[in-house]
Amino acid sequence: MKTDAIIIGTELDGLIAAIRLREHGYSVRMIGTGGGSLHYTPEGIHVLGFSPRNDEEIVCKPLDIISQLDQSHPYCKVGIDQIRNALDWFVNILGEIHQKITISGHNELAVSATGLSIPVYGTSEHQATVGNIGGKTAALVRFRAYRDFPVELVAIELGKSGTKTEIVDVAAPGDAVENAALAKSFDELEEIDSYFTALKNSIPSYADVMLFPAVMGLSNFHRTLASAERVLGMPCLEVPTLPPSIPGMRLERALTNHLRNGTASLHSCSGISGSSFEADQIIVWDDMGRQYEASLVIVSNGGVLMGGLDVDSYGVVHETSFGFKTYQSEPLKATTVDRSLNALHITGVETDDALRPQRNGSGFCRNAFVTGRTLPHWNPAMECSTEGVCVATGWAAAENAHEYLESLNVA
Amino acid sequence: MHGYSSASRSLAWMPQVDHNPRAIVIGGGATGCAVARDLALRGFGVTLVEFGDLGSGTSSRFHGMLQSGARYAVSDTDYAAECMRERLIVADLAAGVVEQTGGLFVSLPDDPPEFADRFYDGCLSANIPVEELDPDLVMAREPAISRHVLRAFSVPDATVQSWRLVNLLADDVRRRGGKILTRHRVIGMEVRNGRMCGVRVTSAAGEVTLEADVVLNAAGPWSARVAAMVGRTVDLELGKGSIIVLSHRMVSQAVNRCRPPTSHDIIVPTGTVGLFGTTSEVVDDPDTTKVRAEEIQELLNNAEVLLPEVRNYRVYRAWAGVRPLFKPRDWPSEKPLPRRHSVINHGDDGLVGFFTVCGGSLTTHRSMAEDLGNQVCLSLGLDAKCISAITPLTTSKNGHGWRPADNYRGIEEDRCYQSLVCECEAVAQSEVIDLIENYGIKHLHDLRRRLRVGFGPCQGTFCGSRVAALIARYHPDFASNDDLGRFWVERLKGIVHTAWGQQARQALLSDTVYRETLGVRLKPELATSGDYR
Repeated sequence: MKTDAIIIGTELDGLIAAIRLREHGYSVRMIGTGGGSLHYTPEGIHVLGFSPRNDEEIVCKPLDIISQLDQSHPYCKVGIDQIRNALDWFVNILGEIHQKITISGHNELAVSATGLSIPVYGTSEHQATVGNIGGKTAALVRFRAYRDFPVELVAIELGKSGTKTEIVDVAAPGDAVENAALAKSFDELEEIDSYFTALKNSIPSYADVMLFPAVMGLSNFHRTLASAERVLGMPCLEVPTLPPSIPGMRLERALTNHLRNGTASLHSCSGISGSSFEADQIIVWDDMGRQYEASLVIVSNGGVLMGGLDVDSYGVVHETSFGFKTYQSEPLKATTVDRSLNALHITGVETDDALRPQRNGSGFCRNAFVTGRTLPHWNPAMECSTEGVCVATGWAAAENAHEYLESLNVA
Repeated sequence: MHGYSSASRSLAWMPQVDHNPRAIVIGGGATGCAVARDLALRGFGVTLVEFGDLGSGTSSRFHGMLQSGARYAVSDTDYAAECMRERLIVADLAAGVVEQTGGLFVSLPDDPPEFADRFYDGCLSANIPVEELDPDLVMAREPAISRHVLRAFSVPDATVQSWRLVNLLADDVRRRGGKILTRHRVIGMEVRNGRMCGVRVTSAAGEVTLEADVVLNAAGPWSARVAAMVGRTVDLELGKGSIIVLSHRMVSQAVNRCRPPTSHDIIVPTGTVGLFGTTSEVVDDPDTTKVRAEEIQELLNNAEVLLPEVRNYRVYRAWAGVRPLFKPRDWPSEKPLPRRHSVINHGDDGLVGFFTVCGGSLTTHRSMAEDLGNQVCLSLGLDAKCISAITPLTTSKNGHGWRPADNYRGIEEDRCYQSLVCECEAVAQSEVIDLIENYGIKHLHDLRRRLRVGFGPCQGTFCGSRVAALIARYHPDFASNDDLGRFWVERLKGIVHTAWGQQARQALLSDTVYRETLGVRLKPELATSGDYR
């Protein structure tokens, strides 16, 4: 069955584009191998935490410095007005799906998995930030036998920034020692109040905020954290853990469900084995041999990180599904470690300002758009800008696709 | 013999000591630790001084072979025979760190055909058990190697976990009353009346002068610098060799090309990985361990002959070590330098009580120490025999020899599945805590060397912060950004060179975790600092 759009990949940017295209009334099919890079990124909406020119220079008001970025940066292609629209729209969507995000116009300092600070533009309800724990006395929860939350490091670093901490050893429900299993055991815990009542005795009386590792439930975390706050009588906040990121999975799950309710087709667990690319029709085969047709394609396959782009042993970057032209700084294997790493981060599929890629030998495609990590010229790890770029480019791709599909209808 | 002392001249100096002679050994690699052990066994009071961590120089930056000597059977038969003798002794003394892989020498169409027979004869002359094998059988047993094997020979090569070996030797020295001072840098020497009396060292605790009757320079590629502190020349040729780390062992035994020993002609299965190497490049600076991008392509191009699919393999990282070869005086420039070690008695040029041992290899670390010990005793007029080959290492477990599954066996036995801090290399939390509590280890890199945390596919992405948290329990001055950041930058140095295929994804995932989740910022000073020893 033919759809208006096929979206390759289950990244945040692909989900955004799909939801937006559905809002415009188009039929959408997503094809991906499952778990996107949201599983690797911590809580909150990171728009631009650090200057792209300096790993240590904290940005206070990200939207104010977009115009100072390199012209090739995805933000510059999308433009400041569209970025604002996209972020406002995204926060609204998140409100609808019970993932409340607060945006104050400037970066907050979120607490990282080691207690260091990371600037974040939008914070979620239970996210620990320097703002909501600074100067307080925090009880830091260490689940027995759980390895993926370096609580001793958090205690040291928070101590340096004026938050007193006390590590509290507690048993997690069940025997779970991994993030997803821990979250599941909280979701499934029937007597949630009595769990926290039992825990209350081991918490020092002078503590005025509780810090948990961010594993307090996947589908049912509102209930868990509300119960904790009610029983313990103080704010209960979450600090990121090593991946997989439970807050990232919550977001992915909520967006995916939202999209399913909108009757989009989602084919997870399949990769792309081939494609046929015509001016007005795109055919994609997945690796189960199924064939899908559409008027346009949005490629949001996560770039090199998620295997959407290949790097070969000569250091050349390939986009293999459609044969789009890639960008790589010359040479990819640079002389210094930081430059080599940066070169690897900033490769991607080169596009025009409308996020349209080029195919071998021909001009820019009218019916293909590229988003998120598949785009070049940005370094998510250095900038701490993942969600911002994904939302902005996913939104912009959907708007541009809308324009293209409308032009087809007029014709 | 070049560099050897003349006994009669040295005997002219008799020490006026009424205590056990005191020796200071400079250098904490395999040679230095073996020298310290040798002298401790002869009754010396020994202090070993190492400027970094034990085994953090050349001893850990090579391909991990415990040579049967077959590699040198044609070019240097005497040295080959010494390797064979020592290989048996080391495997006997430190069975727990030696894996008896065996070795293969294969002739490929590119290799000189007449070399194979010379190789066979050379092995026989050097007393190396050698057997010619049916090439079809070899290709059937080793599916990863070229399908064009013309002739194949089996020899008793082995591999050694060099860090563990170095630490076994050092622990043995400690148990025999010796002192091991790591992170102590020699900054000067005490010379009185043409006689070496001690060294000045500096450490985090400040400067101190250590007195001694003899000072032994076993600093490997740094030994020329050490000798230069007292105006003595040690003529070394420093050869940098780069190695790539394949994600699997790929072969069941060490596989060499059957041709005169040269660059990139060997793959060694060691631990959970396969090492292919090495390049060879003369350098001036013993700290030059930077791998160049061109070297990687050179390695891959040559590896493809032996391992046709190598470009499709996952390669974790690349690294380089510096091999110090001794240049004897008046050695003809066209002749390859000897592999055998040399002992220099600087008493011969007016500095009594100072010796340098250089050249050789890890396989012959014990005989190097024996030779040096003999000459030291001779010069002191002491009649103390070398017993290092026949005295068991107090720290070595007897048994079958090390095998990759050993870690997992320990975990099965202890039933400590939930306390793994490193899934890649199966390192248990209890092992980390033991080193922190009982050995005072507090640097991530020192734990990495001893336990292999950070060596596996994820290169420290997950274990880095887990181990850091354990360190922080005991050392509240742990600084997440700088200490974790330095660890990640050191890992990155090797990863960026081999970031293709799955390892490119890994590099980005790891960087995402370090910067976006852990919040580490890669300050320029972390990225530009030298190797962490």
